[in-house]
Amino acid sequence: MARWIGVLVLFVLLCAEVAARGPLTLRPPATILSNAAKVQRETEPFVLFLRWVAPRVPAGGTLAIRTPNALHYFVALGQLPDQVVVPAAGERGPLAADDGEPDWVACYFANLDDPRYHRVATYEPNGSLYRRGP
Amino acid sequence: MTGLLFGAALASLPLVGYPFARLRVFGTLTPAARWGLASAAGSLALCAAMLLATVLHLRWSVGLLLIPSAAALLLPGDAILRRFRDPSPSPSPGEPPRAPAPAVAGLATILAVVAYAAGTARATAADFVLFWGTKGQRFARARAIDAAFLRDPLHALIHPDYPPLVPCLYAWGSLIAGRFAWRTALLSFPLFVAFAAVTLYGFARPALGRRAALANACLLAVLLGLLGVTNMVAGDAEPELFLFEVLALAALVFAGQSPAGLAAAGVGLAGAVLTKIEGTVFAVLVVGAWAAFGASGSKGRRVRTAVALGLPPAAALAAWLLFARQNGLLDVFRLGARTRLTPGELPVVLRELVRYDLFGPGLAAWAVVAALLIARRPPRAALLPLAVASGFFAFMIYMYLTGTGDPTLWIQWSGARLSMTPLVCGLIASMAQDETKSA
Repeated sequence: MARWIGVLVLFVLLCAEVAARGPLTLRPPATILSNAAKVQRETEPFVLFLRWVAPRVPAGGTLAIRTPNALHYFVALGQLPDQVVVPAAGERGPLAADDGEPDWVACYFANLDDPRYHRVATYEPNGSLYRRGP
Repeated sequence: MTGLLFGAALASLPLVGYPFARLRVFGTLTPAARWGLASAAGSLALCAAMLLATVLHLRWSVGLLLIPSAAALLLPGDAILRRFRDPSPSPSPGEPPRAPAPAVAGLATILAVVAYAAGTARATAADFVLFWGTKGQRFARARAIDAAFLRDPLHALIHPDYPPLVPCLYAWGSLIAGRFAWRTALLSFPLFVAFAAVTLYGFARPALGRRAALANACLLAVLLGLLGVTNMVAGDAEPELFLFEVLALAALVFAGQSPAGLAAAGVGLAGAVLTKIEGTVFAVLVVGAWAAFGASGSKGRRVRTAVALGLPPAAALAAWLLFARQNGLLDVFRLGARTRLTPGELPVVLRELVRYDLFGPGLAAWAVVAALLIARRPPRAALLPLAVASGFFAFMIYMYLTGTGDPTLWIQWSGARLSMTPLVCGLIASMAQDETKSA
């Protein structure tokens, strides 16, 4: 009996935790981070940005990710499996020499001012996609 | 469709492991114990096949990876596709002939809530997004353990030499589905909690009876579910680790005096080693505790069985470390980042562990396990899991005392998650019987 009481107590806490995390609905969440803890949820807008980038960059294309958060590169590696993702240093100005010449540059809370690249699309409110070439 | 196939691939792990669980040596186990063992053996066999294929430069394919399972069908065991026979004694008077339906419904409800939590992204692990999922996806695309990707200095943060089992299972799902399914991979959390619950029920049932064994399986499931959601482990390697830990401990506590129990525990320990670095610590502690408290009989027998128990995890670790060394992946296992022991930090470490673990969301879980433990005098069989729990705590303290920088953040990040292992040990200790019947 003691074990069933334990099961009941922990089950009530489990249900409370589940209810507290987000709306109780059968609709799939927007992303895999939608109802996660606050720290993880802060990455969700970037995941949505990558979802916007994905269909705009052809498979196999080299895509540099420029963002103030170094961990975002690792998120992009997983979320953009069809592209060759590389990190890009800095938050503004031209690409650093070390970054090479990727075909595409996706900027998130960052800018690119590099004559080798031109902006092809803007993601409201804080992202943009650049392509190499005139 | 991709998600369905990916989920089916993970759910099929017990079928992949069935040829091993049907072997004659496991004939004394209950059907549930054998299916629990099959889920662990299937995971382990796939990981081993993927490692071996990578070493031999053979590109992974579904057929290639199933060769070990197919080969196991040639070994003596139960007739293929025959249901496992239940060799345990007939139920005592008052014991129901089948698992009581309300308790089964209770277990199903717990698992459904955990699945809902994982499926609606309420428990997504940060490391799943940063590296567990990514590695699995990369491995599937390379059709190998992608050493070049792991070795890239840009990827040092994602731990190149971290044990490969979980990315390998994700790669298995991707090979079947044709693509990695991020959402479905989150459901590995409830799936492996279910495997662990079945395993515990199967091993505990001959000793405790159906009702008590099922109550304990429910308690394990709700404990792992609650702490898994609060500590955000969906997609992480913890659910797989818990399966292997539960298998090893349940097999030793309830069937450790039989060859079947020892062999099943060996599978659990080998799996733990290939799942997380903490799994190696767990395996060392279990083997040590078994030598000290576990095996009955002479000292010579204790040492012999402890050595036998240690062989599978030692072989698994050696294989992975050799691969990592040959491919220039050694990083965490080099232990170079450890600084000297800083005993002066002990008060901080203890305070933060208590703060984030004991007085965090896990308080109720600790209270339940502690109440069950002190409700009766622990039998001798409880010494093994209790020793492992104590040793694991000591390891956690040592780890935080030898890390670089302030341990506070590290404890905040991982303390409550790591201490789920001692909780599982405590729960199994609370179930131990003085004279356990063979499972």
